[in-house]
Amino acid sequence: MFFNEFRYNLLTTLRDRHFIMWLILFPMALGSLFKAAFSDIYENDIKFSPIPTAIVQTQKDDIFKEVIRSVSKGKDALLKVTYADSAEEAEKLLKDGKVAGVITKDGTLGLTVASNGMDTTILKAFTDRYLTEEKLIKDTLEKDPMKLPALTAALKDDLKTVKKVRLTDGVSDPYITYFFNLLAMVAACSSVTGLNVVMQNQADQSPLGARKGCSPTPKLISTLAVLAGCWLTGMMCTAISVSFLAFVLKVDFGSRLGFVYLAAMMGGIMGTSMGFMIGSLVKGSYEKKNAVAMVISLGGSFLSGLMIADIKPDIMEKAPLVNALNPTAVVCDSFYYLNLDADYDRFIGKMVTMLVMTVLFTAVGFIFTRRKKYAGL
Amino acid sequence: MAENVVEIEGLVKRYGELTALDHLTLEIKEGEVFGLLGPNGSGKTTTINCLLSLLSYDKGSIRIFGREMSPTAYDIKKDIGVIMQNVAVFEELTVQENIDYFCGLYITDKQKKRQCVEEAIKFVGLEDFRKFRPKKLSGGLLRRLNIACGIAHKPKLIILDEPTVAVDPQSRNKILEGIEELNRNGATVIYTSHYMEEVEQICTRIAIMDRGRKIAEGTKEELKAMTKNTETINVALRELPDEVLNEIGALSHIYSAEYTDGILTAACSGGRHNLIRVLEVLQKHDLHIGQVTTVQPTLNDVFLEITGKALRDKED
Repeated sequence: MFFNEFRYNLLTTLRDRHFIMWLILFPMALGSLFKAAFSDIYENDIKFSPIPTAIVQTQKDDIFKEVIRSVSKGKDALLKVTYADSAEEAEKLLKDGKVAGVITKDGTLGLTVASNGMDTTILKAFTDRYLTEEKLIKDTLEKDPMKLPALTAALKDDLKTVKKVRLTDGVSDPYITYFFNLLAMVAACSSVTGLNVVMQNQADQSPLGARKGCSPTPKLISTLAVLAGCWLTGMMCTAISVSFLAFVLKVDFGSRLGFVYLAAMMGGIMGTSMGFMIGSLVKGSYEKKNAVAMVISLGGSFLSGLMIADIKPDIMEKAPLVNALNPTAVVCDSFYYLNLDADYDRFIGKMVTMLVMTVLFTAVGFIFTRRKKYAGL
Repeated sequence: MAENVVEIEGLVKRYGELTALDHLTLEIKEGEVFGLLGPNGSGKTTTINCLLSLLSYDKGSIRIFGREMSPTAYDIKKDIGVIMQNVAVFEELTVQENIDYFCGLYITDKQKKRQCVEEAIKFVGLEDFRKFRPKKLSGGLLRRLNIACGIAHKPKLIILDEPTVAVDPQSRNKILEGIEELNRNGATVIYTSHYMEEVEQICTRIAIMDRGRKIAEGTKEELKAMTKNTETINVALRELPDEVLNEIGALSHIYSAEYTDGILTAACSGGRHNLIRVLEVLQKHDLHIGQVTTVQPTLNDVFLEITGKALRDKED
């Protein structure tokens, strides 16, 4: 009986064109739109650009010359080098803002910068690294010059990482948050499938509910089976969305993609249970229940920053309780913490919150469906 | 003597001030096709919903197969087939899948279920539509699917709540024939309708309801015997002088004679050869006689006589 209910609920949901439209196609379309809108910004702002640097070399130093040549050539160059004949000329370039820093190589290695910033940090890291590895580079050049390109490439990559790490650090990257929000929205919108649990099992909600009420299948089994089917579809929807973003649109979720799937699918389960609870609490037609579910899902998405990214930090600051109780924000936060933190503590915290919310929503849903007396049938 | 399959005693159901069922008592015996006849709002569907424990009630008791009916009486429910007034099928499933789903609510054995589904499809004549989705079916075929979903598990008691609403005559006949066949195969049937012709055609015993009360019960012959009218004679005439009309009205066993729009209507109560005696009077006065019909009393006449109103609205 359980499997009969589960199987056919799954079939009906997957064949429902509204479900396919809103929980699979719409997120794909919105994700594609985000990708198209943000790709230029990614290219211009986030993609690593060589740092304009003036070089003043007053003493002959083949090692330094070779290293500078290596880090300033190719598509993945670290520096965009301008050679200056004198310190004055280099300072003028720096003053005019044409370069971010001046590296001077006479007896020693010197660095002059105009202001603090990301490029300055990298130039400082570069000079420090050069000084610590000068001997190694010198030895390599003397003993095995073929290995020098590999050595300088490693140097470039390490220094670029300084910039990349900083760029994806927390809220300074506003673009990936839109994709996090999109996934959270899909999870929350799974609530529409949760409404079916009530519509299909309550005698006063639909002819199907009444018809099933006449059958010898216990209501608890029937409700659990339909709920399990809806949970599975909620998980499938979020998993499809993650896959589409990660593998079709090539959105970079970092190295923890497996956990992104896990959080998204848990969110799908929570959203479905939320729909079950809404369906049992809200009296009236399916349209009314659906409207309430959509307002909560999309309203929650708005508050977690789907439409305006800056709204979430404001809410976190001014009304942290709203953020803590907003299921969409909870799902969204799990992605943030996965992206921001080196450890999993806060991520696990959000996963536990989702689990608790799921249990709560499901329990309320069951309590209110069992209380129905069908006086208005 | 056949056992009672359903026993309803003193059933009262109230919605606030409105009494939907007023001390309703019914006994339905094994093998019967029992008709619940009444106008819209008379309490037929409320009776069915209480019977199936879909509705709670204020007073009374319901026993099915000799046991108390309740929402958790699954051992009783497994032997009941229900065909609701509103078609209850999944739009996203095919004909075969729908029947398989509903059959699966009752039968867990796969092989038995498959056999039952096949038999149900054949029974309602949907063999050529098994892969169709409900929205591709006509109203009549959809009703047949609804019936197949309700009877696939071979129930002992079948409850049909107005199964022919908005159905074309061909499908209606098919449905009624099907119900008779189910009864011949051993099922007890409860059939609600406000179509008196259907109830007269298939029901072995009938209860007439109005305003939540049972106002009459019996076989159709017993019910018709409750009316004063035994026959109504209609004769088309170009003209009918008042003295002739009075003469006809004075004939024995004729208790009412009217002449309206060129039609003489004479209502008879008992007696024999009433038509011949009316025609003899007309011939005696050398009147030109047109079409002549006689109408036997219907359940509508029974209802009309008891309640003073028609059983159903003209547009029905």
